[in-house]
Amino acid sequence: MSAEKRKPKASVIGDRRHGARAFAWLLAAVLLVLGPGAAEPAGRLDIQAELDRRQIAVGEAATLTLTVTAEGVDVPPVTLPPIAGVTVERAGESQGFSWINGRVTRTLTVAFRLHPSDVGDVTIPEVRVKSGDAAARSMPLTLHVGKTLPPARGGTSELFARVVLDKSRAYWNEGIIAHFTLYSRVQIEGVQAWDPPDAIGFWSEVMGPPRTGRVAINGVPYDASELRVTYFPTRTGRLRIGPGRVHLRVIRRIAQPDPWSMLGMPEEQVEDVTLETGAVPVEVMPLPPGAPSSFKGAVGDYSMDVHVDRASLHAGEPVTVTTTVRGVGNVASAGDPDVNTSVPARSYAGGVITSIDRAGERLRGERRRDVTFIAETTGRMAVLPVRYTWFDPGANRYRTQISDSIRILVEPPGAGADSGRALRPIGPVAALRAKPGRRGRLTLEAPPGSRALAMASLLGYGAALIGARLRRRAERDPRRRRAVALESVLARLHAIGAAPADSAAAATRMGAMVRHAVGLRYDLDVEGLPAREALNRARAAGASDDDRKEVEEVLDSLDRLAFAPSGTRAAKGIPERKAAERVLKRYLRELT
Amino acid sequence: MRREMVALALLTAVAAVPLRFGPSVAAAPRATAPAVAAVDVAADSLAHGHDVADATTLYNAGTVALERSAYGPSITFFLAAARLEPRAPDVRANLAGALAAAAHAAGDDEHPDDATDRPFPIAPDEGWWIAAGLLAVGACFGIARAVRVLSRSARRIGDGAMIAGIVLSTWLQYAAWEERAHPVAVVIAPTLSVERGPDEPSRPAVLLAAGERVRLGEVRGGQVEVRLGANRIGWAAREGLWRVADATRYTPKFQPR
Repeated sequence: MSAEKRKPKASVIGDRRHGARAFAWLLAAVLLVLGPGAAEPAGRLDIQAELDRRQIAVGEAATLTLTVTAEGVDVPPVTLPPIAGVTVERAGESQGFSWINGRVTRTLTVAFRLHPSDVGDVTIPEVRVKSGDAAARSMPLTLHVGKTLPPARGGTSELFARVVLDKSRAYWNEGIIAHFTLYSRVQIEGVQAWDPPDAIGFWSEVMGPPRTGRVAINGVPYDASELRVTYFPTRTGRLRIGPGRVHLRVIRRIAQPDPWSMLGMPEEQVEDVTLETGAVPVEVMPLPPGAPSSFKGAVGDYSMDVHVDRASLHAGEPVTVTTTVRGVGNVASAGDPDVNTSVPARSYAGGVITSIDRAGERLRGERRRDVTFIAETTGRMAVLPVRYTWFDPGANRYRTQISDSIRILVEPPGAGADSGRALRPIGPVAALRAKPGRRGRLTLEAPPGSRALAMASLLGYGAALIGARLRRRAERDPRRRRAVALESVLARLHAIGAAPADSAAAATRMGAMVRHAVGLRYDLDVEGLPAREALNRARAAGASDDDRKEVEEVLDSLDRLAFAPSGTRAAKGIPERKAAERVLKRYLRELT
Repeated sequence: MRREMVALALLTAVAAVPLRFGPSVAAAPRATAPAVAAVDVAADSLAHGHDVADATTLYNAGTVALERSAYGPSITFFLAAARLEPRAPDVRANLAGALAAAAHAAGDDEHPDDATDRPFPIAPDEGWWIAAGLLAVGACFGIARAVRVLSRSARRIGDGAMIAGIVLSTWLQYAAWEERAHPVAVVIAPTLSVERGPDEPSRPAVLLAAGERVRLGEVRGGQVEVRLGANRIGWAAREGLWRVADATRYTPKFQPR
């Protein structure tokens, strides 16, 4: 390889070395600038102490958790000072590390198990930590150690239920967690069911399904099933939580009386059992006076966010301001902050959307509300700082969070703006009228005249229907039909008597008519029968002897008239016809 | 006989409902509304809802409101005028224009509401008289049929008139009942927020634009229940809504110069 060819290569290598060195210096400078020490101009140290329960019995253990948070400084070691009357056992520790936006945060969590040996209140002193120039200390805590846990009702040493509160004194609307626990050393079939525990004067939220596990009480292991309920006092004074009831099915084994029998296996019996916890008193204190005006009743630990959906808009268009309050506490009664603008604008407050998280150790939630503003004037409009106040029971004081003001530019109505649309010229409009128009009422009720006409029509139609129906019914009545036929016979008889052209033939027809009338009267078929036979049938059908005798006389007289010599018939026919008419009229009266 | 009596009772009930429940009582809200609100609404109805209105007055007020771009009031006036003169060309034209302008202002250009597109535009009074006439014709044929035998075609004519009269009067009766219970109203505010009641599940508010037609329900204080079709959508301020039946009380605000 020639020197000419090597030289540029060496030059290239030399340039790379120079570049790498420069890059290393640059990287060192960047690390120096952006390193932990430089990125954290001031270290911050914090320590939090928390007890898993505030009330236990002698022989039980409580867990104290100390969490140290260090920003920009080393995490110091944590030691718990000695506590009189309590045996402290270090249960374990864990560490965490995060780097967000150039800031390094380290956490150290240490758990201690506390075994008190005597009854009384145990004060856990403040724990001090120090790292460099930063120092912190935790709040002192109090652990109530009772002789025994609150009494259980209806249980045995093998199976009983208890309720334990995490605090016995609380502020109004401060969350109190009640642990309803079923302890058992017997076999249980299926899943036990808890009744909602009695708690008058509290708003309650059940924290998820019951949790199961194993615990030791005075060295005796138990299967435990725990239902957690968060109670928020809605009034002050001395209140009571409980008793809670649990329903379960216990499998009991009963030994056979004869142990040498082939069937001497123990028998299993399932028994329904209801256990009841005791009732625990709670002292509810009112909130301290001096609440700010922005306080809406929230008690717990909250934070607030304010969000605006647009930064500029046209006059007449809506802008929505969303406030979100989230935290630990009863978010359902936490209230919403007031939202106002710097210039007059129409406002429409929307509904509140509330969500609750019951999965954690404490009841958390979030409530969100939209407030819509419509600005009518152009220029600058600002959403004034939103203030939200809650009471912090841990610090025993009110806390207020104030948002920044949010500027919104309101432009004149543009082509695409709603207000611009509203001001769009309308199309041609029909001219005004000069003459009066039709007059009437604007309701949809019927005019009185039409109503009267409709009523009269309906009543008339109904009356016609009823009349037609009555007539048809009468026509279908057999008795009436016989009476009508009898009327017809009577009319024909009368017509014969009025113009007797041939008296013999007329007497014969009248005799036939009388026999026909007898048949109609007694509903008989007498057509073609001799007079005697017809009368016998009539008597069998109910005719009286007098009637039979009268009809027989009439028929005899008509027979005599029919066979009388000519020349005397016309004069003698009149009384026979009248006698026949009397019989038919009587029959007609009897039928009608 | 029993069938005729039942039919007669039903027919009488159809026609007698307006007689038994007079206008002043019928306009009161349901029993669940507070007594104060009931008295208030009843007083409103007595004072204004049943006045005799003039179609020209309503039309002119609607036209003035339309020229001032007050779409909600103009639609209210034109709807009221259309109850008296439903076939008047100027009322129909201006109502269509007001509805289109309101829909455009609300941003709904593709589906403008068209209240004038009715196949048989008749006024309520006319409908009631037509129904009464049909019932009278049917009754005449029925009476004639009761006293003498009619031909089959005559019987069919009479039955058809009676059935048509009953159907039409029943429909008109239902419309009147619906108007009494849930009167038609028009949104007059540029934007009206309709929200759920305090004892109802929360959800975002419904914003109604000017000119939208709704039906009203119970009244509680300054709030009135708003319904779209047969569904309740929430509660809104009474000031943002005008009832069509009360249109005459607002005409002095829109007098032609």
